[in-house]
Amino acid sequence: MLPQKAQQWIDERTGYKNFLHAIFLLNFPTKRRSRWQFIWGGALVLMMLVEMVTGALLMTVYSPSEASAWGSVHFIETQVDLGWFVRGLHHYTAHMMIVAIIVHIFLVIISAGYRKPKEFIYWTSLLIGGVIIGLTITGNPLPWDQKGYWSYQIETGIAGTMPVIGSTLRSLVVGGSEFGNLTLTRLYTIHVIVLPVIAMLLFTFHMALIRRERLRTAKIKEAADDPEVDFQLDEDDPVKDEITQPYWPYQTTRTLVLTLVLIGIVIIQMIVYPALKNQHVSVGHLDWEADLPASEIKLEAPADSSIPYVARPEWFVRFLFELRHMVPKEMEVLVTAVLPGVILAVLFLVPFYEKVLGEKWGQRVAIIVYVGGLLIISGISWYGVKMERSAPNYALNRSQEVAYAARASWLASQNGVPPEGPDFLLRNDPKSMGPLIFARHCGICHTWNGHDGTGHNIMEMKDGKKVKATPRASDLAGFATTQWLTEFLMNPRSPKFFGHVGSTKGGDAILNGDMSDWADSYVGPEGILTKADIEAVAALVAREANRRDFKPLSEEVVKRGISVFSGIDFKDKSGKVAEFYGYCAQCHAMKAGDPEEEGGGAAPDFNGYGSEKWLADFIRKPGAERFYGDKNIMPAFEESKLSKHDLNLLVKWMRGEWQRPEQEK
Amino acid sequence: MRRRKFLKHCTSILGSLYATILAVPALGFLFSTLKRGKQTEKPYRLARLNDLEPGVPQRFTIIDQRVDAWTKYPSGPIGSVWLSKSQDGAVTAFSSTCPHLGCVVDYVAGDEEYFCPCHAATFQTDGAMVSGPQPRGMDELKTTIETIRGDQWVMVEYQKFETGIAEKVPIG
Repeated sequence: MLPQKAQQWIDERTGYKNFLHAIFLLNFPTKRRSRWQFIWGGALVLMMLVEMVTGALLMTVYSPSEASAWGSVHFIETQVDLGWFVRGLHHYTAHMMIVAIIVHIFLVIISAGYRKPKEFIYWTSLLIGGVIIGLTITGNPLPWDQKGYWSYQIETGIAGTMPVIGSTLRSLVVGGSEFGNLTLTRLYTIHVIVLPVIAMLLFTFHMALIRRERLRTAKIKEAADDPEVDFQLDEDDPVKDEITQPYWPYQTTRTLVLTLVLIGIVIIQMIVYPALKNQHVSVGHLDWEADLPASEIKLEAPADSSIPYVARPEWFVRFLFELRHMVPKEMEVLVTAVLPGVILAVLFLVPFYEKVLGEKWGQRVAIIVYVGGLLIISGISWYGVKMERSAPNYALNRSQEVAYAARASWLASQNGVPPEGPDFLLRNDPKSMGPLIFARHCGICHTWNGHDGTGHNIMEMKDGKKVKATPRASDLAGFATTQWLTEFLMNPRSPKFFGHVGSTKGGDAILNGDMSDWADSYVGPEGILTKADIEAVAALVAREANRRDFKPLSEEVVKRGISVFSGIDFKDKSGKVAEFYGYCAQCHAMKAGDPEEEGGGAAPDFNGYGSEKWLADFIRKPGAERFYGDKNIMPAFEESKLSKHDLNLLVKWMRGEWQRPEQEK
Repeated sequence: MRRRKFLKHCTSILGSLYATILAVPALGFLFSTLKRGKQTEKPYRLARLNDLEPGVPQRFTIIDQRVDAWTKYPSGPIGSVWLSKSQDGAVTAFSSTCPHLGCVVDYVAGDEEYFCPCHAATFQTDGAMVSGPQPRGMDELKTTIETIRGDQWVMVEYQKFETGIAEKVPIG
């Protein structure tokens, strides 16, 4: 501390001692019973301070634009020392403040803190609560990740349905009619300047009113205790119970204890849930077993309307979201846009309950309304969360969202965010986009491990019931691998391959065509070919695709494969050289399996089979002479249907080629 | 009064704890964003030795990828160097950044000297100071000659130095 002299020098010129005295040392009258009341208010002030400090820190890095918001938050989480801690503190303390304001208002009601002359004290605390909710709603979208983006879409949509002011309000907060550059700058301004300033003004007003009230009580008490003054309090006057005590250190200690407990809870929460881990979901769902651990940061994938995301509201507005589903369509606006106003009005009118019902019952009704309302709201929210978690596709959808988030985070750490924006990370990533493109274009006939590539099943209506649709073409997971080809050659008619093509026009010619006849004649217990023969020729063809999981072949396998493919030097089951009439080169061309290059023409060309170029050419024009020719039943996907960019991603994904962590190589 | 004293101590201890929870992350946060990525010296292939005219300095742009916090930019200009070949074929390279305050230095062919237009700093062709406010001569960069497919190429290790001081200290 400053030496006595210096303190005096400053005090003579500023009067700061009086000021501090007025704030901290004044004998505030307090009710022994209601000391708890001030604690929550004080804790809210200290938490607001935490928000301001952490918020200012985040502002030093955060960049409010669509191209850089996500990248800057990712940078805070992964590159800045203790960035995850600062951001976590900012995020969770905001939620803790909402809890605290709910408790604070409850305590005000049970101690009748809204009674004359304290109505304005009560009203300002309600308004401060509203501003805190406004701050969380405007803060959420700032990272511009999937969660924030979709929530904000819905919230601004709701704002737009409000009677009278709706569309004006929406264009004000969105900065026009569409989301764009102005949306984030607006949000940012509201979040860091407008609302904090309003909150501070309200708080100042609130505290001034409280001070005024306390001083009035203190004066009355002084007069009643002073024998010189002819003034007596009535026996039943509540001021009788008051005792006077300075704020410092009695209240400050209690307030700090509570604040630290609340911040402690926040820190524990941050450490227990550091990441996008969702307890109800394992990321290793179906094909989504991430080839990387779940994201260690609390940030969803970058905002992108082309990547599926199920928007879920924040816990404190969840009940509105649930109620929308419970009421008929025409009442939806009432629930989302009018109900919050009604709730606010009910709370605002609390001081007037006593006018109608008398003091005792007025307070009882206020408590019943408040607690009952909270219970109903919590009940609806809890029920909603429970229903959602038990929905059939919840685990799958959520695990994909987590996988996308983890993938984007990993790509950003590896490659940096391109200047165009973070959505380019996933849009150019075969692992992320491949399944979506497959589901959109191929999943209508083909399957991928039995689903549409994204883990969902294509549904169709049968006899008025939704059932899993029957695929119309082969399952393409593992296409052009040795195993896939072996399975195909063993049984082309199986449902995994040609089994369902008969349902399509011209498909019967394939189902019961040359390939199936070939398998009938040469494969199986009666046939001349052994399993080893089939595997060898399959491996030989798979070598053309040269997928990343392809293992080099031994000399012997290659030789055997060539003998089956070309029929030259073919050995039967007993190991003798035999005449083999079912050799592949009769219909298929493939230089590597056919030294005499005689074959081909009647069936798809196997040169480069399954390679990127072969697959891309095939998808573009399956009816080309070198593929299925006039037997073809697959639609061609020209540039107008499937862009070059998408085709490239699809082909790479089918072949399992995408950027992977180093240790895999 | 003893209770009051105890509570005062409690307040100070709890208050310090509260302040620590805020101050420690704040300092970590602020100081880590001050750290700049360390520059690695990287050789850039600039010109064929035979293409340089003896005694006439030429300016070459350094093209490279640049990472700025979270953004990775594709290749673009990140700086430039002056290359000059003496009559006996030795090549020297100077960073075109003026050691005074970081403007780009020009070469005035008529006077045969380097001249910075911002504050009239003038240097000889060997980079030594002639006149002006600059605290040191031009920053020379390491050059090597590498033979690639029969052609001799000039390679320059480009880096940036602190401006405004007499010592040549690399930034980073």
